[in-house]
Amino acid sequence: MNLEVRQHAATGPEEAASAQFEARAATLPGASWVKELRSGAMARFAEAGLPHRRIEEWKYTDLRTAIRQLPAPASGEASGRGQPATLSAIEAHRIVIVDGGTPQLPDAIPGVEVTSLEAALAEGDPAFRDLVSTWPRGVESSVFDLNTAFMQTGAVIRVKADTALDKPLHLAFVATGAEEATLYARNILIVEDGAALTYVESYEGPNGLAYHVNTATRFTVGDNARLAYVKLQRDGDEAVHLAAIGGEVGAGANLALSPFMIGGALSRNNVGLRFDGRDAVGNVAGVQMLGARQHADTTLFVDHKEPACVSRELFKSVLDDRARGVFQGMILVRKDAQETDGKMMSQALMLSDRSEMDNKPELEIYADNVQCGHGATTGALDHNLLFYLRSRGIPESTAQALLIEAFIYEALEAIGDEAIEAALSGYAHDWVSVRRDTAE
Amino acid sequence: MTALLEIKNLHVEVEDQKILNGLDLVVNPGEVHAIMGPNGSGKSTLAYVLSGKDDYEVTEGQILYNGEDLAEMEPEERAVAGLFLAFQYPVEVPGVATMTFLRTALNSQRKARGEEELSTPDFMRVVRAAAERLGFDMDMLKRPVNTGFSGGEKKRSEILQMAVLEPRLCVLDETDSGLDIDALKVVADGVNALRSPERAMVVITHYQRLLNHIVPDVVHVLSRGRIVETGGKDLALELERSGYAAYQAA
Ligand SMILES: Nc1ncnc2c1ncn2[C@@H]1O[C@H](COP(=O)(O)OP(=O)(O)O)[C@@H](O)[C@H]1O
Ligand SMILES: [Mg+2]
Repeated sequence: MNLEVRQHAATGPEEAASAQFEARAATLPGASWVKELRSGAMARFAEAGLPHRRIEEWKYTDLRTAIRQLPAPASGEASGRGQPATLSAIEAHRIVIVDGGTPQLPDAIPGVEVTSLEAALAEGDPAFRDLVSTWPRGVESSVFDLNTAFMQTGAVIRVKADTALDKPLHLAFVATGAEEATLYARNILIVEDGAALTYVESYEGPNGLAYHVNTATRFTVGDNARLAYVKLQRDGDEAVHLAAIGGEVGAGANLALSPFMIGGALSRNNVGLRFDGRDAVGNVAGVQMLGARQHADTTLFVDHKEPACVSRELFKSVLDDRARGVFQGMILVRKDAQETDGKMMSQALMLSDRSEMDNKPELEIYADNVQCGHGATTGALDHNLLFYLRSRGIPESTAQALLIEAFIYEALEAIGDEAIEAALSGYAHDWVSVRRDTAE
Repeated sequence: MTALLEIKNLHVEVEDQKILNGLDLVVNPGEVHAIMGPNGSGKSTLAYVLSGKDDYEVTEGQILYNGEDLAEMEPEERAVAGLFLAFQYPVEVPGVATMTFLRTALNSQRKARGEEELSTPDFMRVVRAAAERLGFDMDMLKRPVNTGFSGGEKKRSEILQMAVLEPRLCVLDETDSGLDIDALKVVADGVNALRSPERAMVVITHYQRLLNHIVPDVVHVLSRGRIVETGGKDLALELERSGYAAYQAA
């Protein structure tokens, strides 16, 4: 007798994914090379299922337990209209994607090509294919495979060599709540040699709706280019947000990556960053502000492949009520990456006894002449600071609010764009004010 | 006339350790009192108890401020009522700009007193005037509170806060320590500028030299948690010569 042994019984979401793929595969965008990519990814997902706690990197974020239902992929036709509320006051070139529909593209920007994912997948020169299918270490997972299988909308942005934009480029994803769906987005961001871009990617959606976002952004930063990449996640309070952000940085280039997570019931960012040329600088400065029973996880892999690069990872978590934050970071320094300067720090501010923070920073070093370190701290608001502020007549709740905003300030400051920093401070301030008003 | 501050038989414990043991003090509006004493005699403890720091437990006695029992008041309520402590060791508050801090403090106090909050330009006028008087660089106000300030800058920042908040009872805890003679003069001038018939000051110091610049009406010696001697400004000079040894001997 031939017994087929499965590693696990397929759960609801896993069976749903297979069925959804069968139903939708024919209509998903892309030439034949894309179709192959999709079915390969789907097969891997069917084999592995959702990531679970027995997989080391998913120890603290067990999706198999947490995700009971996998909403169908967005129809793309639910609304098609709508404007982002998020960061709308920022002067920017804007690409808006509503409910997984076709991107609304901005007017022509000199030196920049913006197309929809759909258009790009229909063709696909080898370099572009490469960006779709190969990613640096640290990003791939079965969740990411789902993204490859279902990627339906997104933007492809190319900033040509030596171009500097007059204002930021803002890619805004809006869920209107017209359907409880999964948005599968895939974005490609190419910053060619010597170019400079400030890029903001935002997500927003209504409370009370268990929609999902499964998004992946692949970037590549050319030699001596600059990319400031801000990700703002303001999804609704029941949303699930799963993201991959990854790419490589060329020689002498500068990347500032700033993920800011404030929404969603459950979110996970997998970030993979690789230094492909010497003398590059990578600055990852993340913030998460969580309350209720929110769970947010950022897992980071920094790959120092080439010598003399600097990486800084600073991650600030503010945790209230029963929220749970996770930060996992790995700095890998390969044999040839001499003179690497890599520092990673995770700091958590616990506003409630019931909140939880899990830190897992790691170093793996194969070069002998490097300066690397990591650290993690967790603690409550400092009593002496609170007393100092109160002794000047500042009410306790306001003093707390000031100190919470001060705690994340260092991470926001790394963005280097005053308007965006101010806007993010504004969201932090709102978060703190809501908390304060609830307390009073 | 009601005393601005009346401390009666005050006993204070910190972590089950008795620090103040029956301290009495009466300060009237317009007066400047100096409190001198050796290290560890309880001077800062008195300052903290007045401003309402927790961990400092009043086990006996009473503090009346303007006739009201302070025990019932939170630190911010005491500040609103006009009490100000210039800390011996001001804390650094990274990430909070000094300007934001000052404006929040002033407007919180005004709001709590039912006064209108100051607009930004009006607030700036108040701060600029105070900063000029104290030789305080306006650029420093953009920096986070006390963060990276030298010892002298921190003390000056305390006095600037005092000048902006215009309290009725100023408690200065070793504001002179860590200041060179020029800085000492500037700070003393700043403090003297605030002297008025309605306002009282309690100047805590270990050394006499500050009192050459801020001339007190009354000088007290604090030892082992009690006031053991009270006199005029000459008492400070005497202490300078003879030291505290006489008071410390049991
Ligand atoms: N928070 C505290 N915890 C424990 N002991 C304290 C604390 N604060 C003060 N003390 C003790 O109380 C005594 C008086 O301290 P303090 O008031 O700072 O004296 P002074 O300011 O006169 O030097 C000292 O013995 C000191 O060690
Ligand atoms: Mg002291």
